[in-house]
Amino acid sequence: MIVNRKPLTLAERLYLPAIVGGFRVTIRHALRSLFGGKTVTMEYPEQKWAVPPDYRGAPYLVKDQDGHTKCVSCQLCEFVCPPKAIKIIPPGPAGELADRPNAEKMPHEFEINFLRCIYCGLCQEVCPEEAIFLLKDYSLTGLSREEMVYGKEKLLALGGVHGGIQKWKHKLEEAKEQENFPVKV
Amino acid sequence: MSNTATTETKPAAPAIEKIKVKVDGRELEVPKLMPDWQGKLVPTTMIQACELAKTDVPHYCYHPKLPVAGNCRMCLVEFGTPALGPDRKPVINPDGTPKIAKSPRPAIACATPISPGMEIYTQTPGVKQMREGVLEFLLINHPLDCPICDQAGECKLQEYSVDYGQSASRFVEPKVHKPKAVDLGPRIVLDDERCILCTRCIRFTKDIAGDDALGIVNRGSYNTLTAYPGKVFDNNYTLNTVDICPVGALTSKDFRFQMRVWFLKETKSICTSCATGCNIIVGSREEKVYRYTPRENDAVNACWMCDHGRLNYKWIGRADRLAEVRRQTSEGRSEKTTWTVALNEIAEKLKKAPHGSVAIVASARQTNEEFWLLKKLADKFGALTDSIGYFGEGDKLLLNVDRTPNRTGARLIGICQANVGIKMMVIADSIKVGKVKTLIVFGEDVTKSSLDAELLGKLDTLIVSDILPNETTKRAHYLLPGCAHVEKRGTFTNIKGRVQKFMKAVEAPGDARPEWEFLHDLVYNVTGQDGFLTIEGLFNEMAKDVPAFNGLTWAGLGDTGVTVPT
Amino acid sequence: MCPTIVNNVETLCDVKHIVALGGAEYAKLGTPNNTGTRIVSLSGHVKRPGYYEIETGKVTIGQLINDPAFGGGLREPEPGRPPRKLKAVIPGGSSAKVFKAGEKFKLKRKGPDGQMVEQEMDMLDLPYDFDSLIAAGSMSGSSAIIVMDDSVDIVEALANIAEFYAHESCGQCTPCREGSLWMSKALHRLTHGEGRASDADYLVKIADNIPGGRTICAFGEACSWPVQSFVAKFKDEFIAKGKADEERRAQGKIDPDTTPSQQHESATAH
Repeated sequence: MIVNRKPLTLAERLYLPAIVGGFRVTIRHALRSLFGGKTVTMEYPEQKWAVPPDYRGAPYLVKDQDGHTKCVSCQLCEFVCPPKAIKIIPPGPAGELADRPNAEKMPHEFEINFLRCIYCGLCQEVCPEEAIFLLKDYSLTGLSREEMVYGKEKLLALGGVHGGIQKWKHKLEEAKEQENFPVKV
Repeated sequence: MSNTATTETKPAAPAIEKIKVKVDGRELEVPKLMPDWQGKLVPTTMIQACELAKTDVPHYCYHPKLPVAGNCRMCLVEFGTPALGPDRKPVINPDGTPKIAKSPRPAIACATPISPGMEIYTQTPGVKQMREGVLEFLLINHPLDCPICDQAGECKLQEYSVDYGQSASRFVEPKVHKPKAVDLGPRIVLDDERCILCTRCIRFTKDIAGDDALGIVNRGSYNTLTAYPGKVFDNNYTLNTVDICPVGALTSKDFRFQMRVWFLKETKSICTSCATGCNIIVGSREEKVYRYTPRENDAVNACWMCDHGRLNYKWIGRADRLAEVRRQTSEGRSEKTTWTVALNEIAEKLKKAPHGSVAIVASARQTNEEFWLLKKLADKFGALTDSIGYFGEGDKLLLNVDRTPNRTGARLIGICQANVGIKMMVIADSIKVGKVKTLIVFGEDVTKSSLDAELLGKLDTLIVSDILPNETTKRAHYLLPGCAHVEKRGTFTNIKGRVQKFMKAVEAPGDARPEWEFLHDLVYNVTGQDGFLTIEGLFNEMAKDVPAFNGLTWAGLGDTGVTVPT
Repeated sequence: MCPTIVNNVETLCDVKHIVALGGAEYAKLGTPNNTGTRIVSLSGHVKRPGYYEIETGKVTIGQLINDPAFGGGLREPEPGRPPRKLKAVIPGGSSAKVFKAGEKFKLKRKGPDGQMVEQEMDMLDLPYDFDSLIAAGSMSGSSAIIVMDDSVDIVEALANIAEFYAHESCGQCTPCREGSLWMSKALHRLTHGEGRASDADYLVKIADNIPGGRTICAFGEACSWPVQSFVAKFKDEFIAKGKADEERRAQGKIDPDTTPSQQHESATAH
């Protein structure tokens, strides 16, 4: 279907009313900041914008309340990531043990390429361990491409602590209490 | 070996009577008898009839190549049989169809034989409810640790949970906890909490591998799979239990925490570790091979493969793989060159070589097509050809004493004799007396055979193609980097004469090219023969030329190959 | 592996009669279609528990409990307490479906004129034979009669039975292996202060997924029938117990005899 453009009116063709309208906004803001003390600009980067609580910033890895890595290297985020920004190297059979009790697996390396990341939040949504969250960082800079690929330690340091149900710990405690149940062999 | 799995299905079996059954209202004729796990003809079961009707019946413990246990209860179906009147004659409905008496109790499809006129119902609300019930029971004590479980992505419990699971569990009691990360043997780790006690692994080890190593201890929900006390689960077939485990209870130490299976590209291939030629699937991601798993071929390996072959893949990704075409300069210095330069120079030298002054040592790990191209070169120069045999201890199930995948092919094409390596001494003598001046070696370190380094030094031209560096490649005048079988396409002929093709899974490193490609260029340069630029065309040409392969086509090989008389 | 026969004591007792009387004479004992004798193992709250051999169908359940020749009536109450009342009878081993005291059944019986007539009878008037008990929805089973008076907490009784079945399940097939322990755990919870009002339905839903040919052997039926029948016939007691637990928990009072999951909650609370 072709939608024909509405013909411009005389005022629109003159452009002057639009220019005047634009100036009115500029002058209003200029006067307000001069005499009203109300500034609309911000001295970035010294001043930073306060982001709303549901803001989707950069995804970082988090630790649980005991300081253990929550990520178990299930690679679902790697799978779901639309721009393929996430790369995980699983521990393999000889890899280091996880730093949390009862869950044997932890990523050997976890990389997010922030040149690729589109801040979509699918990694956070898909994570079965609540180990990756889109936090508030929106301004990531670096001097090289390599610098923009964040490794596991950096992501964990930036992510901080995010408590939770600690299901692996819970399983372990439940197993330890198993002796209490009367039906046994 | 208790199975007929590796034998051919006999074509001249007597015609088996067919009986009519209905699966979900669709009538079909099924054979009255069908092969059981041993290949013996026994009355057809409901699950086999449903399979013929292309109706999926979910199951855990049933496996077509294992004895039936009937303990998971997932394959319960409802059924009916023609009702009989007091006169023992079928009761007929007013519309002329036989009246069906529906059985008041369900039956397990894996163990119940069919009877004429039987109706099987797999989609009724009752059947669905039973499947949901069984699945819920299986899940209540399952740890649900899919994020750290290697089976995730190829787990039957996950699959059927999607089909028959509840969105949330109503189980509020504490789960039964069992041993985790149990070291069963050198290649197997067991997580007892994940085990659904289907006993497939127990039946496999006892009845197929013949090593009665596994069993279940304790009662009821505390049933625990374990190896017998003091017994290590270590035979050459242990890793098959990982394949048949429907959940992630048995996991491979080799593949443990290596890669999630949904990332793996699956390529149909052939195991090269012995002359049996087990059909396999190569799991690879981003040009790295992660695992081999067996692929069903009843004429060769049924559903199994040995641990020896399965774990023999790590050399493919080795860092010292040959990846450059190299030539030796007149000063004896090795330098990098290009395929065009190297092949043209080799062709020039070969063209000038007098009749009988060339010898070829091929590897029995090469493909039929490569042998045929080498044979063309050999015929042109009247060259001596042979190969080198590798033998080890075989077993009764799959592992052959011959540890090369294609000695039969080399023999059928005429590269070697039945007694492989018999001409190696002749080649050595010919070099010694200066008769042979040019030696072409493919994929063998001949210094370990009768052609030692000193003899190689006597040659005018030593042309070597290989994958990994060795003493022979060091001395090559022309070094042509070749491909592992997972990096190219081709066919092998196994010990029983089955011609089977394999596909390319990963890219070769650097400049390495499939041998058949550059051999084709070389044959064209030397003899002017052409006409087979693709592997399909090459195979079809070879099949016309080699009597043993007459009548074969690349497409006709299918996924499971064709047996030729040897 | 040699085949081995293991005989019930009851079978051997029958053999003794058959050898002494001859098959035809032995078959004249009892009632038509329910011939011979049965050895009843009477247990529970009767004055004279023990083994009694009866002619099949010639004695009613009421007689077995109250007749001085058999059970001799319910046991005496503690001093100063009112007399005991019958609460429930399990007629054929713990797997048989329970009878509630005062339960009435409509059974077809041969009248005096030889015609089949439908007759309403009290649970206690049921003749102890195979057909009558099946017609009443239970079974003669192992002929072990368990008599329960009003001192019995029916939930505790079922928990005891369920624990027995969870322990005895061999674990070969899924529904019985998982279902028996699940029911036992739920009942353990219900009898240890962690019940819910919804547990009555919860138990029946578990039990309904076990029997009816879904298991390899009859143990699946055996472990689910008591749960189905106890909850069906004494549902109000199950709901009342669950509700009481819920209310107690809501008030923050926790039964000292807690279950593992509850201990876990308190352990992780800090």
